[in-house]
Amino acid sequence: MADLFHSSKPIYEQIAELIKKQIIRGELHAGDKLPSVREMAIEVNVNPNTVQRTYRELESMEIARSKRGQGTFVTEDTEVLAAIREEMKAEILQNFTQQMYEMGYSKEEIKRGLADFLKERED
Amino acid sequence: MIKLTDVTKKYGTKTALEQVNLTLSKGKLIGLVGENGSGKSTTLKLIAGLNHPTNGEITVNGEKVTRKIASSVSYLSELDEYYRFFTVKDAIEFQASQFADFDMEKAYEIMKFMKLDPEKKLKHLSKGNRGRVKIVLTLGRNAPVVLMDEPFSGLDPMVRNSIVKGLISFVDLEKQLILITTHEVMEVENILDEIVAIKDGSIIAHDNVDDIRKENEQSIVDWMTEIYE
Amino acid sequence: MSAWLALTKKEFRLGFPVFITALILYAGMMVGAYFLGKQINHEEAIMMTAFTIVIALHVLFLVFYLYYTLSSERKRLHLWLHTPMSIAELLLSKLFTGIVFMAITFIVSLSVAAMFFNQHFDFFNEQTIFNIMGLSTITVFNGAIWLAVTFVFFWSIFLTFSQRINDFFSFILTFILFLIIGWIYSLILSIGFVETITTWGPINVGDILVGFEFGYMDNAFEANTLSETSIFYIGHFIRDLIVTIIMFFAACWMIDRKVEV
Repeated sequence: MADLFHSSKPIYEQIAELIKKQIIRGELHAGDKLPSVREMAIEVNVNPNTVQRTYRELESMEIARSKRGQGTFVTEDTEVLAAIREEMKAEILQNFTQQMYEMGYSKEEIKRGLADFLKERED
Repeated sequence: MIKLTDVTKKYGTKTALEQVNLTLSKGKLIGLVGENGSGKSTTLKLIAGLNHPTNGEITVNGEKVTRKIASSVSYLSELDEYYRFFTVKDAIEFQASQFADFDMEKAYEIMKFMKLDPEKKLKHLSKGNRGRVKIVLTLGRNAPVVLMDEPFSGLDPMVRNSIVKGLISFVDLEKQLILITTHEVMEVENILDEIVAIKDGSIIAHDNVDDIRKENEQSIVDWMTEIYE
Repeated sequence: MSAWLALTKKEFRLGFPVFITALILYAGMMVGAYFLGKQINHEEAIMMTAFTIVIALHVLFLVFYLYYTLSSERKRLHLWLHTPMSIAELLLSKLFTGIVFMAITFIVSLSVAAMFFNQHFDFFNEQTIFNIMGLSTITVFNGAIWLAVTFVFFWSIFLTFSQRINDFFSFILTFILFLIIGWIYSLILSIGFVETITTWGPINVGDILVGFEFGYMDNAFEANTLSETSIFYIGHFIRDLIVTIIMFFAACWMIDRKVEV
């Protein structure tokens, strides 16, 4: 469990990423309750204060909302959730295309390559 | 919460700590790291009132530290010495009788979590299990300050992992401050809030661990290698 | 208080081996003397000697007991001293358990001796036997506690030295200090003024052998004519008590302030 995280990136950010991915994958839905700080801390083997910071971070990005005395919940604002989904996609595509360009592939090659790859996957 | 002001500690002619100033605040899990002999244990003993500073002042919750600070400081020694005729249960009950803040229910919960047999005598326990008993006795107290000197040293990875889990599960970070010394930061870097690095009796860094990772884009181990050069 | 009682319960367990050792030693000596006496047909003389030795050995019991229990505590000072309790409470717990252990073996030895005397000697009347028992109890416990506190006092000095230098030299230094302090103390006692203010309230032991003499004050002048050795002075007892208390608190102060883990 201790190897769950990259050692050179803040852990609170990594946990936030983890939660965002769960939302995109549909494992967490709008309005779902997030695990309590302590539960989450024990699950991923980190300090409860770190999870607290993750939740604060998610709140400031309006991805989560904390209800007094009840815990932290995934926002019910589907627009925000859709935006995260788009944001994540854009980020991955950005990485992908940047690497392809760095290797010298042309726009057409990338397009064709991607189409072929996806088609192969289907079969 | 804990405040060291210009603290110097000498043993004879040897200086263990030199002009240390350190303020640690409540609700944090703090790692005190450094090589063997850098002054980690001395710092803990000074805060526990078991050693006395040559110069300077130490306060816990604003109270000047003497041996009697034991009523609000729970100290775990690196030494593997306990009353060996005690069973695990005896040891827990004895600790409970000595400290008003001892929480019997919590202690039994930690004991179960650590998979310890209450009826077993301490002298018949393995080193790893004796290490676990110490954790039960230390964390069983709801003391505002918990000091742990090398709780992992000499223990196998299984035991270390259960101690780490025990720390996260049973420490009340709203009320407690935990200060752990270790010479292997890898063990604890994921559970720390802050790190205090000590070298040759002087504090050379004191920072939030995630801030270190964010600002330097470095792992704690790399960061330490750098500052110790 | 309950914390102190729980601590004392621990002390009973920690010190138990010393109690058992002493018990076996005393019993062995008495049984040995009994069989030896039978063998060489001097039963009474040998038993008498054995009883005297066993009773006298009790004077050393507390010192030995404290040496054992404090040595084992020395290995885990971080536990023993990590408590909001005062050092006086910690030490009193040890002294108390030692005295209880000592009382048990003492009562047993003394009862066996009394039974033996009653059966074998008819020239002591019952009252005299009780008086001897009472006298030896006071003498032995008084001596044992005095020695015990003296030991604790010098043990604290030794522990203070051992913070800086190794055990061997700490011991040597402590021993030298012991001789010096002992010498100075005896000098102080022999100063005429000190002697005058402490030598009061004589109790004639010679009288005790036939019956308690409570009116010792009235006999004070007569007592002067008796030999020195058969007279106890209450003044000396008070003097020793004061010195004991001073040494005890000095030891507490040293352990609290000078001894480190």
